[in-house]
Amino acid sequence: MSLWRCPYSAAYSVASRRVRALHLPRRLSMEELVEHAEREMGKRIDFEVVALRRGLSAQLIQRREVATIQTHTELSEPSRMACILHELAHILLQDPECDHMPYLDMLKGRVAYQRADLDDPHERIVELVADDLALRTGVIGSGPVGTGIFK
Amino acid sequence: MTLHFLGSIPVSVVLILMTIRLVLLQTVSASIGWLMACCVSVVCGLGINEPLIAEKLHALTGVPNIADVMGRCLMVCGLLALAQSVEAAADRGRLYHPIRFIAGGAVLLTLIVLFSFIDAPVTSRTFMQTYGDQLPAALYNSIEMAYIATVIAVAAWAIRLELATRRGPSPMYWAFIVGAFGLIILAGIATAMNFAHVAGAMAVNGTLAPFYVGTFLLSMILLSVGSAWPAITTGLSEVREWHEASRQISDLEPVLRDLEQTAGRSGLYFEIPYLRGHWRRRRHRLVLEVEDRAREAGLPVPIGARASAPEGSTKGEQ
Repeated sequence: MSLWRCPYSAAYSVASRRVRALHLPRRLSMEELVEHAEREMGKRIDFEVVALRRGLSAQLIQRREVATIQTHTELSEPSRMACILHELAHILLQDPECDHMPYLDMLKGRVAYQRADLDDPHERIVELVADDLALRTGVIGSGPVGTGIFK
Repeated sequence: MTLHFLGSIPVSVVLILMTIRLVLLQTVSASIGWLMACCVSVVCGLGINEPLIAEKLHALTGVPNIADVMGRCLMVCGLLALAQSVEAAADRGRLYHPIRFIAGGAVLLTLIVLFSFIDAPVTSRTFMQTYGDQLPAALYNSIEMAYIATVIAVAAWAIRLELATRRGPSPMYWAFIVGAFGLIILAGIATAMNFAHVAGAMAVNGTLAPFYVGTFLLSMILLSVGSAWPAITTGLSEVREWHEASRQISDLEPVLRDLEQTAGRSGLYFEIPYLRGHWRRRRHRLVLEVEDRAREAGLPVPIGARASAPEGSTKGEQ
């Protein structure tokens, strides 16, 4: 099998541009990325593992004081990280629905973003942004390369 | 064969190995890219003074000893590329720092201006020995060496800090630090020889010359080994990892096609035209989508799709 395929897709280029515009460090830890997102929203982010419906892998719930990223119980750890990065990408890209809509349900909060099917073109870009963030945070393993100085 | 050509041999070996790495992996980071640019400039800068090339350049341009000034300018460019490489290696480095380019440009300009003041009518393979009794020649060589010493000292200090604060970098980087120290000493020796020559104290030059040769050759070997060895060894591991990823991708692509049909949904994987250098990203997406489609179809995740655990972790994850 050849690992060659033809040049970049438009979505890939758009995602790369969006990531560059975030001015993030080339390498940062997951904790640092979460702190970036918390600053962006102005509130703490909590994480929960819950039994979501089958087609849904993750969602971000907005409450007045805290945001919660819920991930599906059946996800493997790399998948869970990728889904969390997808939700963080929404926040970092300053997508609408971030925190200015009314809270209809004070107890449950409001579902702002969901990672389910990726039919929506914007969701696809968010997913590719999440892939880039996965590289920067080491979720996509950089192997021994990351241990070098000239890397 | 000139001394400088001898010194370029270890750098040439590094460049060849880096090129093989690039051909195999089809990917190059900013840091390795700048390191390769540094090697190209240094090899050309050190090799351009070979009599055959120097005479040819003289004949082509009509300027005697143009090879000498070109060689020094290439060395300055090479060191600028090395500074860029060290900056690119830092997680928060600024690659386009204006002061770095302004300083490099100012040194290049100064070298060219000083060269024009040197009375050197005949092309010589030993330029500084032949014309080094003139003050502009002493300044010309000393400024070049001062720039080299400054850049290499900053690079060595940055690497020293990395070694002190991070676990993981190869101890071979110490060879780079020792080599850099050697180059700083070399700059001191060269400057002393330049001004001794102007003052007519040739006995000083006679004493320092063997130290110059030994320090130069040893520094070039240590700098080459120290900067390239870790990159080459990690490159070999990367090639092995790439082969493994290639096999995993071959195995999982048909699995994903089947799962997409079963789940009645498709993801991004087959729409993205990945380049060969994007194999990590490609494997990540493939594994992720196999897992997504399997879960949606209510099927177990195929064994081959289980990726290794990530290095990062999330704060407060329950």
